[in-house]
Amino acid sequence: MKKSIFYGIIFLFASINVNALSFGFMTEADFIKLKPQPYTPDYTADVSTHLYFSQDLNIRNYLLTAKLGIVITNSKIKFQFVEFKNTILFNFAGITFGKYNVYWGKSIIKNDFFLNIPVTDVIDKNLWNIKADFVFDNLTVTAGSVLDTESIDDFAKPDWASCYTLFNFSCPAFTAGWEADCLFAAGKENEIKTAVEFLFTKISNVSVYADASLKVPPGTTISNNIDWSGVVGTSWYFDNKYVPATFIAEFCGYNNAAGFGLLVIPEIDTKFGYSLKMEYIQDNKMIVTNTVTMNAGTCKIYFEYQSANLLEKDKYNQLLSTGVKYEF
Amino acid sequence: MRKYLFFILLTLAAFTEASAESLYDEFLGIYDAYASDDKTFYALQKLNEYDSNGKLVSETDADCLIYGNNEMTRINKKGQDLYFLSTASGYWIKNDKLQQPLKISGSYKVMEIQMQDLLRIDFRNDFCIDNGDAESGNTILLKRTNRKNTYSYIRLNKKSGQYRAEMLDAKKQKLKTLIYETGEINGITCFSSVSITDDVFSTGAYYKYITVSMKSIKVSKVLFNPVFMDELIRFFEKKS
Repeated sequence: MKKSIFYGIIFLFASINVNALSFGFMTEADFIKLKPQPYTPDYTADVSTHLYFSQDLNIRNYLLTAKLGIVITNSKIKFQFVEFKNTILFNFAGITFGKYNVYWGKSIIKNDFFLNIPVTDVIDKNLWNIKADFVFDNLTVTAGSVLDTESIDDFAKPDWASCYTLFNFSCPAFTAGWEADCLFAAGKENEIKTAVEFLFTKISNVSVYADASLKVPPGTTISNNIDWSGVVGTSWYFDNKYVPATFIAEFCGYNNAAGFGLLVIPEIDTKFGYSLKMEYIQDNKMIVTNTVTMNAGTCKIYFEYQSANLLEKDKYNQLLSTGVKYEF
Repeated sequence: MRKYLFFILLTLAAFTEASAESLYDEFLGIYDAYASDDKTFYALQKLNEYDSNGKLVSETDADCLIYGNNEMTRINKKGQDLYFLSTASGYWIKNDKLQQPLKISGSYKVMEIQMQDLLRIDFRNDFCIDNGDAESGNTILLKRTNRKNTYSYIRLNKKSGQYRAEMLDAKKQKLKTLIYETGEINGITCFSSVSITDDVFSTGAYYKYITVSMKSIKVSKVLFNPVFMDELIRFFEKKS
C-alpha cells in the first residue's frame, strides 16, 4: 500500500510536467552467460526489460533525472525507479542523491580504483547513492555512500552500505587520485579498501597509469594479512584521419597476492570494436579473450570468447558470452 | 619648436593608443556578442578542413554551450563524442570512457587543431594591450596575463573587414593565424567563422570553424565546472 501511494505521488508529479515527459524502452539480454565452473557446462539466459517514462527537470541550481517504470527481470515484474538522480549545485560544491550509475576509475584491465561492494557488475548498474563533491581548482574531493539497492527497491532495510571518499587531482601533465572505502555489511565485519591511481597524459597519444590497492579482510590487521594488488600499464593511441577508427595498444603487468600477470591488448575502437586480450598468469597459464562489440545508435551487441589455458591443452574451461542492449 | 614637436608626438601617441583601444574594443564587442553573464547559448557548428587549394577535405559536426567566457564543446570524432570544457581554471576533456574529467593543456590536439584555438579565448582577462610595443593604428599587440593560454602574445589587426590574430611565442615568432570573419546570426553581428592556419608546419591546408546557428537556453552557470561535466552534457541536443 505504501509503495502504491509513493509511486502514485511520483507519477502525479511527473504528469503535471507533461512537456518534459518522455517514454523509453530498454532491454538487455545475456543469451549465454557461462559460469567459470570446471567441467560443468552451465549457462544462464538473463533478460532484463525496462519500460519507463523519463523526465528531466532543471530549476535554477537543481537538476533532476527520473526514469520510473516497469522492470521485467527473469519473469519477475517490478515497478521501480530505473534511474533517479537529484543534483543540487553550489558554487564550489554539489550534492547528488538518488539511484544512478556510480563508478570511477580509468584502467580498463584490472582496475583497483573502484568501490568494494557486494555487486559484481558495478559498471552498468544504477545504485542508490548519496555524495557530495567539493571543487578546489585542480582538486576535487568526493565523499559519499552507496547502499544496498535491491533492498531499497523493495522498500526493505539495506543489508549493506559502503562509505567512500575520493581525492582527485588533475593537471595537464598527470591525474592522481586516492580513494578509501569501508564496507559495512549486516552480520559481517567491516572491510576497508584503499587505492591510489596515477595517469600520465603528457606524452602525445600515450597514457601511462598505475594502480595500487590494499584490502583488509574482516578480522585481520594490515600487518598480518592483507590482500594487495598493483597494476602498471601503458596505452598507445594510433589515430589516422583517413581511417574511421582508433587503434589502441595496451601493455600491462599486475601483481597481487595470487601471483603476477602480463597482458597485451590490441584494440580497434569504432562503431565496430574488436579487442584481443592475451594474458599470461603465473604458473604457466595463458588465456586469450576475444571481444567483439557492435554499436548502432543505442543498440549494442557483444560477443566475448575466453579460451581455456592454452599452455595445458585444457579445452573445458572456455567461456562464451553474448548479449544485446537496446534503448530508445 | 621643440614644444611643438613634443606636442605633436604626444598627440600622435595618444591617438595611436586611442586607436589601438578602439580597435580592441571593436573586436571584443563582436567577439563577445554571444558571451553573456546571465544567459547560456547553444551553438551548432561545423569544423571543416580544407587543403592548400581551398578544397573541402573533411567536415565534422560540433556544438557548444557558451556562458560568459566558459565554453563546453562537443566534437564528434569517428562516431565518438568528445567533450571539452574551458573555464578560467583551464581546459578539461571528458568522454564516455573517462569516468573523471582530465585536465589538459591548451595545446591538446584534436584533428591537428589545438583546443585553445577552438575554444573561446578570454581576451578580456587573459590578455592585455602591450603598450611597450608600439604598433600601427590598425594593429595591436596583446600580452598574456594568464598562463592558461600557451601563446605569449597575440598580434591583432583588421584588414578588409576581417580580424586577423597572429598567435606568437615568447620571442614573438608566429605560430598560428586565426582569421575571424563577421556574420549575422539571429540578427546579431558576431564572428560566424574562424579560419585556423598553422604557420610553423605550413602546408597551405587550413581549418574553418563555422557557427551555423545560436539559441539561448536555460543552464545554470555553476555547471560550467569540471565536476559537473556529466550534468552539463545532458543539455546538448540528442543526435538522431
